[in-house]
Amino acid sequence: MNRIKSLKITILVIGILLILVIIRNLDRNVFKEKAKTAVDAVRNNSNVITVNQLKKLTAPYLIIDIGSESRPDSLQFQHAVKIAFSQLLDKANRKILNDAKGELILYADDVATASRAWVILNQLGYKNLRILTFENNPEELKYKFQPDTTARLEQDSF
Amino acid sequence: MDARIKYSLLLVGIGIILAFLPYNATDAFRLKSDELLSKSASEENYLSVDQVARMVNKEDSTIMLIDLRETAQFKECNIPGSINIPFSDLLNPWWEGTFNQKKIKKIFYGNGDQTANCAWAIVTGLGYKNSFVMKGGLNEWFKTVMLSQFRGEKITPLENALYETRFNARKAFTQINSLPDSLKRQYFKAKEIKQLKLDGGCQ
Amino acid sequence: MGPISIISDFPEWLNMLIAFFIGIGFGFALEQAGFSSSRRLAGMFYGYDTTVIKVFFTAAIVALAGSQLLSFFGLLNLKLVFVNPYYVNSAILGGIIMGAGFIMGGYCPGTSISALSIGKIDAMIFLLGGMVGAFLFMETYPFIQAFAMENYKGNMRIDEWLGVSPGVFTLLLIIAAVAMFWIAELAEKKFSRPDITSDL
Repeated sequence: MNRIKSLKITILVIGILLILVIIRNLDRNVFKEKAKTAVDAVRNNSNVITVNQLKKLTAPYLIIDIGSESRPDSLQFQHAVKIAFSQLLDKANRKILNDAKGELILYADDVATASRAWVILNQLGYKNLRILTFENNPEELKYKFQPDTTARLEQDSF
Repeated sequence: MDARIKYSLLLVGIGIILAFLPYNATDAFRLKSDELLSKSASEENYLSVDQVARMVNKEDSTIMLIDLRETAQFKECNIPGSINIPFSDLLNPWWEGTFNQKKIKKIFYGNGDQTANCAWAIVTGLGYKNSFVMKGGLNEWFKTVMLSQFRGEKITPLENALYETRFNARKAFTQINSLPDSLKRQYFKAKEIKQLKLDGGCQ
Repeated sequence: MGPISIISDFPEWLNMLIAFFIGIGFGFALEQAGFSSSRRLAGMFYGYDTTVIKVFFTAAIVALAGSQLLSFFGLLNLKLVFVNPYYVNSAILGGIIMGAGFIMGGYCPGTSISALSIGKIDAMIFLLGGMVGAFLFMETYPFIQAFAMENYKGNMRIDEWLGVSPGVFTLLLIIAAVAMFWIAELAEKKFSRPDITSDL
């Protein structure tokens, strides 16, 4: 008993540290995934799904429609959940994301918004998360650069 | 009890906590998710191709254009003054000195919008400030800067200024990318040196 | 003071001022630990006084554990902490030369400045020797450059090399350090030199 008494401060410090670590770990606002997982997924293109692939998908999925309040109802996806981008992480919306079964498909009018949302959710640890795209390869350069063979650096600007 | 034993036990206890930490904070994002979300939702970190063209024409030294495409595509054509950081190489420690330049605007672009915005979100999430995305990527650059034309009889002063910006940027883009490969290599080398100087550091 | 994120936006002069005060604190701590006496460092080699290993190892494990914890709580960006690049040849040969110099002179560069500031004459000579060595190194560098640059391993870290998490490596190092302290105290008893240590 005496021994433990003399170790009071040591035990106290370790205890406080342990509590702080647990509090930090329970904070759902802290990103815990490795940043590398996001880079790898984007690199091998496992973060996108085309409309054709979606049609063939047999597994259950849920479409999350981000930031499209101005779009008329006739153009909405059926069975899609509408979530405004700025409220993506609200309590109610997190519950929708957590409860969803199967794949989560992100869609936004602007690929930029969908990409950013994808990174945030991926790093919060959501798996089976993909961006819906209408083009087969949105990252393709659609134009071909035509070199001007007569160009010289010396001819100065306009 | 001996103070040495107390300190030893304290250190071993902290060591045990460290050994069982649930995740490695060095590899994870530093921003909290709500901070990153509000930054992502803001329009301020997008730049239009015309804004970028104006900076390129001025040879603005407070910006750094970062081309995220693979090296082969970068060599074929790129916006004058940009450096190449292939997306797959984004987390290479080598680039930390580049991203950590707080006073320099880092402008990401790819061919489309997806890679650039993913890279933006990752770099911003890792805690590096002052990053931007060129909206629409190189596809938009080609459409607006390289191929746009003004038709009609009258042209307003505003349109005229815009036209001049695009024309100059187009000219610079064509000239630099038309250089023969040997000269291009020299040009890239020169940029690499600029890059190293920016890194600073202890090496 | 770069990596500590809460103060990373300080102006340059304030950073330098903080560095200045940390430097003074470091020198003071060295002096207080008795490192301004050349017998301490030599004692490490002969085994009669092991303060050096205890002080430096304690500093290392406290810094290691502290930086890990600060990083976990988001206060410190460990990515911005400079990792010394590892040149195998230079590290081994330089280590031997430096080690021999430390035993013969009884100081390491830091402690010699600490001893100089309280007016020790041997520390002045030691520092002069160090400067002559640095001068000779710079002058002969072109001849040894190829050898020095060989076997470059980059910014290597032991935890990555072992394939364990930094936390596990910290625990291993703390256990190793505590074991080493215990052995060091045994050695002090075995090789005790009361004639010298009574002066320290």
